[in-house]
Amino acid sequence: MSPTRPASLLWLVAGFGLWSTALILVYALHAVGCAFVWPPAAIRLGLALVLLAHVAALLALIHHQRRRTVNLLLQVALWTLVAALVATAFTYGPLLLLTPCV
Amino acid sequence: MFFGSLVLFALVMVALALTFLCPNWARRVSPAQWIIGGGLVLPALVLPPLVAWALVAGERLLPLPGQGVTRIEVVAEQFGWQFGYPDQGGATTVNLLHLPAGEPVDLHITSTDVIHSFWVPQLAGKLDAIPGKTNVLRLQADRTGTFYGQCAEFCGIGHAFMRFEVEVREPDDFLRVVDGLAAEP
Repeated sequence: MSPTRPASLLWLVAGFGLWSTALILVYALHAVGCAFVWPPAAIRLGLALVLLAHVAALLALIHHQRRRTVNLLLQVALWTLVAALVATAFTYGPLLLLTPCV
Repeated sequence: MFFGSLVLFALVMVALALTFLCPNWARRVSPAQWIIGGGLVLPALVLPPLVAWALVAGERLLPLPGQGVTRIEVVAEQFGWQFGYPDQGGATTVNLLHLPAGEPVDLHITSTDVIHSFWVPQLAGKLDAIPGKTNVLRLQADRTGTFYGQCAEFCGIGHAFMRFEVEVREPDDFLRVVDGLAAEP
């Protein structure tokens, strides 16, 4: 088994780090959009773009990591990326169907 | 919902008991099977329906304007609650909220001093009462009875005693009581 570089630890947080940035952006966009009474379609489009960008980033990282499972840490990193992808779609996907503002 | 959670709780407890009482049975299940079964398959079966149900229920309870829902004004103040019924002649009550059973109502919640939080645990989630802002909570009490509410945001020395009662009556009774309050001098 090859030695683990300390920087590899960052791969462990990459997936849910991206999930977190999606949360912050979705939360901020939603709050600002509703406060300034943007059209619901514009808010939904913004949320969809944030979601798509994060899903694309996660897919790219998964694609990159698939060829680098040389040790346990990188294998775990790959599975956290997959978990983060599922979590991102599951937690933010329904936002696109719900009434954005009251 | 309650019985569903009871079934899941019983399943987990039975599995736990079997690991103690029949260790051979537990050994036949590999660690990977435990992790995949209990950590992935079970939540994958349970959580999506719960989320879908919660989202649909939440949409149905959104206080969208123009639906002819009874409006009640809630004003929080250190350390009590005032409830106004503009649709019923402007009656007001203090620390006592009247609600009709089986009908949605919109509570327009605000505060005159600091941030409070309106909370009736048996009827709905918490919603902050913020000075200068009105938050709207739509709730529906499904049965008659007396429920208890409490300020859920620390608001000063009397916070713990900032309670109120909720009297839920049949819709006709609700109208009779609140109209009667409005008629009082």
